[in-house]
Amino acid sequence: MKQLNTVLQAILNNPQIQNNPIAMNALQMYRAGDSQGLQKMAENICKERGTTTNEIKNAIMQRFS
Amino acid sequence: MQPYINPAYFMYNNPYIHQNQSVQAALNGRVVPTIDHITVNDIPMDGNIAVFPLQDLSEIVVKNWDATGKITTRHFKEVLEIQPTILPSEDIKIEYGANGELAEVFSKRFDELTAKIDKLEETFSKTRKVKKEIETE
Repeated sequence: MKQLNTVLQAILNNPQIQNNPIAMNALQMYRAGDSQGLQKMAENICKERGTTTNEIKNAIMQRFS
Repeated sequence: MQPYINPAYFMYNNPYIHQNQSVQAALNGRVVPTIDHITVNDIPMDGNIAVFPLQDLSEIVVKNWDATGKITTRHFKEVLEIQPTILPSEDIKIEYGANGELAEVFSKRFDELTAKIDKLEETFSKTRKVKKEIETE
């Protein structure tokens, strides 16, 4: 857990991540354990890209099967 | 004889030119015929904006991904610098006032209309009288 926090901190300190509002929001939500917020963000991104979270999930699962 | 200096070498080693080039490269977007031609992949997900001037330059559309994962769109429309011609009040009086030709035409038309309405009223009153006479008989 301590190692994970160190990695997370390193990511958060990355200037590229700091300048990216989506990545920063996602990491902050992950840190706070806001799974509903992350779900909503994923749904928003999928909606903008004309797809759904289920479709993306299925596509990923097909790659591994 | 002077030594030949390759202009490309000079450009490559000039830090100011590199700086300008990097600024130009940071501007995302392209010229589009209509807003519908903008696709999701045209908008970078790194938080930067993408600028889309319309081909006829009537509008500039700026899009970017916000922190919640939605695309925000801003429209910048042109503002014409030409001021509308404001006529001085005396000129307006001459053009549209009681002495103007336009007022004369309108007053004539109103007179015609009132005459027609009077005629219609007369015919209606006549038909009512006839109806009453028939009913009494």
